[in-house]
Amino acid sequence: MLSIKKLFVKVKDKNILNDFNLDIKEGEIHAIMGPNGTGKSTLSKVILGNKNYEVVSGDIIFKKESILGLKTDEIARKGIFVAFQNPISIEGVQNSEFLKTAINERRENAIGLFEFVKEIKEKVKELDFSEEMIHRAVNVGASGGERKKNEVLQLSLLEPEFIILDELDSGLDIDSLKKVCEAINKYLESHKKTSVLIITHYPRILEYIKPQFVHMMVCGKIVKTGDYNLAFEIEKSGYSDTSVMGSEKENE
Amino acid sequence: MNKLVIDNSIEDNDIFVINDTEMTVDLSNTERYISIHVVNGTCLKGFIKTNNTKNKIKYIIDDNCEVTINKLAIDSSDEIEIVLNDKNSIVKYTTSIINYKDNIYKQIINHKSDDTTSKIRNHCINIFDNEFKFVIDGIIEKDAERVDLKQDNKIINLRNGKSNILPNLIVDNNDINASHSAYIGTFDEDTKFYMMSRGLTSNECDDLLIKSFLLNGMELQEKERDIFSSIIETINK
Ligand SMILES: Nc1ncnc2c1ncn2[C@@H]1O[C@H](COP(=O)(O)OP(=O)(O)OP(=O)(O)O)[C@@H](O)[C@H]1O
Ligand SMILES: [Mg+2]
Repeated sequence: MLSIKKLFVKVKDKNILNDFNLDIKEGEIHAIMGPNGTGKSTLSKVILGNKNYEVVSGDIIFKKESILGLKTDEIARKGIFVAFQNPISIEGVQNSEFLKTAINERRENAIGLFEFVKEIKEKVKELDFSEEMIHRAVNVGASGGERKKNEVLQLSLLEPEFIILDELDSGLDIDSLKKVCEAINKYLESHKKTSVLIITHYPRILEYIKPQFVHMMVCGKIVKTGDYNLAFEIEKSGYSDTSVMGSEKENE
Repeated sequence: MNKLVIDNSIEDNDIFVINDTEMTVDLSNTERYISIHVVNGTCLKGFIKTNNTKNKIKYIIDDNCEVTINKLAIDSSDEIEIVLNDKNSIVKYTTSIINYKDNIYKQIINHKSDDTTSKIRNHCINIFDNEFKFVIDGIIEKDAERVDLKQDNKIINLRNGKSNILPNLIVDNNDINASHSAYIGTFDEDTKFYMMSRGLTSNECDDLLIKSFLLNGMELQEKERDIFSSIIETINK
């Protein structure tokens, strides 16, 4: 479904992604773990065509077509959704207005008000959100955890085929993380072909949404790939541990 | 509340507000000089829309008055003078401008008396490559104690418009509270990236951001909001 090939990315003359390769098939769940500043969030923004980042070489293929050079909204409408690490707020733009516009962009016929309200109320409840948030401006005055819940609300309404969760677990309390992950699992249950890339520093989220593959990313590239257990290995030993770095060499 | 209407068909340019009043102003293609005198103890709420005007409007405000104005203007080179003549009065003047041509919008706020407050919010969206200028003067006279003056002036250039904000604060008293902010630029790139990441086109983002930029900060009844919204929705980009 998503294939990243030999990707080199620069920002302001600084190399961030260096020969980054990743292949995610339909319905697969992957996780990336890596130290601060290694380029994980950069990767998700590059996938969405953020103009601050310069793709020097390589390619990003989504559903058999290169998405390099497409506009961010075109990429989003192809079915890619990123739940951002730090979702911003939008003064004066109501959640309901924002969501309705986003939903309608993906439909032939505009969603009816009744259907929209019903759907949104259902999802809001699922996430343990207060209903009046619908009428508030997007993330204005919202706490870190509320912003993350809002990302998942948007996700479930926009029905993407490829999801990146960039540190979804940061900002969410233990109960909320559980609830939010349950909502995502419910979504995946009814969207079997959807693939997920989870970016995280902690294995806890992976206990709720279990990946088949865990990648260790250091200095802008994947240095090791393993199964679910690699996450716990990394948690125990960190990224500088020689045994982990040693197996990177084995990998090459 | 009294109702007061000022439009193209009503020629009266000397207005006295002696009771609490809701004023509706709807003017297009006019060059009038209108004086509005708000006498002591009254409350004036103004809902104003103008199109292609060069009006001069002077508010004279007595003591203990509350004046709240929400104005949406298209291509305006108006000059608004607000004189806080007597103590304990408050003015909240919120102006949004949709600009297509070359225009200079002037506003003078003159605090002549103690315990007077002015909250001025001016937003303009400059659509084409034209020149738009806010000239905003705040004057606090020597005898006016404990004055509170706030100004927020912003211009968003949708294209390569040439915009300017000339704020001018003349303060002759130390015991005051004055703040001023000015911004000229485009919509925030990160905000647009976030919105587009949900599938909104660049144009749709602009529409939502323009509406928010022009309506935010206004205290409108639902009907008034609908009227302003429908004007904003017809913006020709
Ligand atoms: N727009 C930008 N301008 C300048 N530098 C940037 C920009 N975006 C990212 N960087 C730099 O690129 C590097 C990678 O940042 P990124 O946010 O991708 O890291 P990360 O792996 O997500 O880290 P964390 O775990 O802390 O979230 C950092 O050194 C960061 O400072
Ligand atoms: Mg990050």
